[in-house]
Amino acid sequence: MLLFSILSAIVTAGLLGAALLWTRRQPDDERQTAREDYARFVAEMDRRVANGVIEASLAHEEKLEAARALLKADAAGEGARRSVSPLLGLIGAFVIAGGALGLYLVTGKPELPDQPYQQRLDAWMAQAETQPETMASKPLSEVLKRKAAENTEDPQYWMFLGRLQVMSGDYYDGAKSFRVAVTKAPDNAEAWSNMGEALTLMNEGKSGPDARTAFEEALKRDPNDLSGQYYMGKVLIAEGRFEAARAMLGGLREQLPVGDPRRQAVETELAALEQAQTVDAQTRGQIAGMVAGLEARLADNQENPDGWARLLRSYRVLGDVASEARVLADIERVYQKRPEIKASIIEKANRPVGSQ
Amino acid sequence: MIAELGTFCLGLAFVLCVAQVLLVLAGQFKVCRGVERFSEGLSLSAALAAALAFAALLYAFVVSDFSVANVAHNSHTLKPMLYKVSGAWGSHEGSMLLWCVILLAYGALITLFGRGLPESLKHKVLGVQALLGALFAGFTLFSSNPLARIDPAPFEGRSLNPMLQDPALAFHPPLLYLGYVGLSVVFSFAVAALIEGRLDRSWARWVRPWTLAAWVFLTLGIALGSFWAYYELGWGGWWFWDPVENASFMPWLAATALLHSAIVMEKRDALKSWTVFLALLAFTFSMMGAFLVRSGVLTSVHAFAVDPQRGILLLIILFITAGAGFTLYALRAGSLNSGGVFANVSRESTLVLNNLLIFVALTTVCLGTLYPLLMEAVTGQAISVGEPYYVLSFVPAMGVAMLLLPFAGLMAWKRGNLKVVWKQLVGAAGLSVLLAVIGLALTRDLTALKGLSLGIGFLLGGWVIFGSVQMLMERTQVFKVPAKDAWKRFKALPLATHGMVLAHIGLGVFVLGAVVETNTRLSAVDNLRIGEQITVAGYQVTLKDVNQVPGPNYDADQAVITVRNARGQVCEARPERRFYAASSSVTTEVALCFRPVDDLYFVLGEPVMTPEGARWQVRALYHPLARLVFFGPLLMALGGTLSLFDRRLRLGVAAKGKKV
Repeated sequence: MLLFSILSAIVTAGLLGAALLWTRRQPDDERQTAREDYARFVAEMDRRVANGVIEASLAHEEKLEAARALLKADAAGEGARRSVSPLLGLIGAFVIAGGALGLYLVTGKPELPDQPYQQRLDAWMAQAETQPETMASKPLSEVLKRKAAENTEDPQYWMFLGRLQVMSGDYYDGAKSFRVAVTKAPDNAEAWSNMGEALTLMNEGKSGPDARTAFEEALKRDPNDLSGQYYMGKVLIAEGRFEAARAMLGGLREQLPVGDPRRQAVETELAALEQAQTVDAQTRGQIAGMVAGLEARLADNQENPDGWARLLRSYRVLGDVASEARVLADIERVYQKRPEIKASIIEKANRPVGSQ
Repeated sequence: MIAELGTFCLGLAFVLCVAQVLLVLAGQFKVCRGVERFSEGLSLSAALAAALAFAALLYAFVVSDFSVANVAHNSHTLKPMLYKVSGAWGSHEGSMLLWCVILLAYGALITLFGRGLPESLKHKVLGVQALLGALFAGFTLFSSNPLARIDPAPFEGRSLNPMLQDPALAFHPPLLYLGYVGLSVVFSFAVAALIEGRLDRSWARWVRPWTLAAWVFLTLGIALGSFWAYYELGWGGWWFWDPVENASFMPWLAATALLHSAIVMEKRDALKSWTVFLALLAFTFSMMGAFLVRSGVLTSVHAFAVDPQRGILLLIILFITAGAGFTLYALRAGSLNSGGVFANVSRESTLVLNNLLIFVALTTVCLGTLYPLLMEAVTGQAISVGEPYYVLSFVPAMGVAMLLLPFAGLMAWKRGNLKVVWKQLVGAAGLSVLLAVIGLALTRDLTALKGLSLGIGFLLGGWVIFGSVQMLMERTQVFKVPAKDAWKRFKALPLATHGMVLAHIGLGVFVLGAVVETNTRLSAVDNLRIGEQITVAGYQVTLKDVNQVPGPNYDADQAVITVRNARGQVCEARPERRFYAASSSVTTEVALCFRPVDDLYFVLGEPVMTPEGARWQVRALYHPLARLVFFGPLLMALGGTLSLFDRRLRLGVAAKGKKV
């Protein structure tokens, strides 16, 4: 606070001093300046006339105009500069300094020191040596990250760092740490499921292909891995594999003792499973209706290559192998003499949705 | 303490500005005679105080002091140093402070370089500039303080929008603000002259260098922003008539018109009222741009998401300043007698016509920008005004202005001879027609509309370029006098003439690039597996590989794309998809293959997982003459800079110089 006061006083004094010094300097003689301007302008005109860049008559006119401006400036410059009392300047400087100070007291926070990141990190490092248990997860993870060079081969280090990062909300970094952990200890099921969990949290609760693979790896190593079972159950629900999900989550519920708060989460997922199954059945019914409609339209009008491609792809998406084979046979029959159209239909059906 | 010192300095800058205004008023109303002289020194102090505040903000960004809210919201420890620094103006609050620094620095420059100005006018200019400074510094300090603190400080920052982490965008805002705010000097000169009642040829000479400097910075800023949009957004477009783009374009158009009308005023003592009007208008558009970008009324990739309350404050500042300026203008415009008389066919008349056409173009852009906002405010219906509107309104007005351009350069002052000028320009006209014919002949697969558009573009671009060259040839009498004499004349030409020719050639080059790129660009897109290829404009584009590449604060999927034509490999491009963990966002980094004037442009899209493996969406675009779109404005800015160093203009700014 003292240093701040001294510095702000120096800055204010310096700036106001500079302003007063500028004002005290010898002012320009306006008329002299105007005369110099005029002389330069006339010389410039003469130079341009000599170089043939401008016509002499135009230059003459320009010079006349400049002379008129000079006379006007001479007349205007009659009034001499008035001197101002230095005391007035000094009083003004104090008013300005007082005003700035008052304003700062309203807008500033003088009690708050600067907090450069390196300085904070040093403080966290010191705290981690003495009282790590009092630290929040984020500073602790930052301290741990600085020790990576000493622990590159230690899977437990990466596991611990990953957990801290996930607790701090740094899911991506957490997943990266768990990835290192699984490369150091590939048989550690917990490391795999933690990685899957971090990837899922990063993806706002949805388990993508990476996370799914991680849970599979975890369950391969330890079929009773709680986290792996829970998330795999959710993945199976999302994939519409309800029976497998029911088995997975049911088994997990049995593993958890009564009263364990995690049981509640599993119960919730089992309830969600029932609801998802009902919705899925309804949706499948609607899709089947739409596909049947498309097939009926194609039966009436067989000259619709795009329609055949859509139908073929629909059965593939639905996993209806028998219908897919039947549609392929129909395409073969309809386009028997036009193999290029048949190839184009199959190529379109093979392409992923959205590709061009 | 440094952050707090910054807040103190910002407050000090505000108080210094208020003091300046009060001193000028006290002098003006004879409350205390002579005190207005203090405004000169105070303008220097205010600029230094604001610069110190900005230095404190920069320091906070550089050392990642997350106890400063602005740093916590816009920076991250892993961000590269360039973007930590540019983060200082990457947010609304920081950019407002930069705006204030530049505004007050221009005030200081008036003091430093305005020694040749009449005292009374200079003090009034400083007073108006200080009033603007007080309004903006006050707004920044009380509603958008970039040095506001958070206690307790967060452990980590939220980082800057990844799309803004780009070298072009690091420099785009400062350049743009140097232009926007540079027009405040012109505004201050206009208001001061209206108060003073003194508006003559010397006023135009004083105003021109400031206008020119602002125009050069605006040109560079807009071009850099356009280039950023071109390669960063991944759409391959360089101008979208986005309201925020228009917000920077409108002051540029007004400044362009002002530059030309100030020439007429300086040379012929004519167009006084019109020139002052444009001077007021140019900065009004700058402030309107600030309001549009920061009020939250626009949703744009360029806009700062800011709450409407701060927008209302900016609107109030806009109304106070522009309202006062135009009210003064309305009261005094009648007394501004035009001195110079000129014939219907003269350089003055062509410049007047040019001014009117630019003003029409400016009006169309203004309408296109504001109409959807007004409609939404009145009816609640969201509508958008897109490219077709501007093609039908803006383009014709500017097209006619460009047709006139070579005539204006060759016409004599006071009374010109159209026949003589036309004779001088016949060669240029012939060459432009030839260029259009060759250009159209070389372009295939054009629709009638595109062919017409392309033909007109070739004609106009060529006409402006060849017409400008013809003007230079007339001035140097090349082929009419011995080469030695012509060279002597060339060297003797004022820098302003060289600058003007260069700027006009730049415009022509831009037009050629713009019409060709817009009408003949090609693109191909497909989901490719490694080893597959697509073809665009005769180039085989093969996806060779996709690698994971770690960056300083991101992880990227980097594609390796080889490009071949009939003669062999042309280049290897490496577009990326970057994931920024700090903001959980993905950006695409375009890869450009630089051909001499064309661009091959590649974007790596999302992967699609298939049973056979990942397919990557690859977009390949061919942009013919795209380089000219950005090279043209560079030439224009270079021309402006050359003019700025012209002796005659420097005489208008500074009295210092060697005695002749």
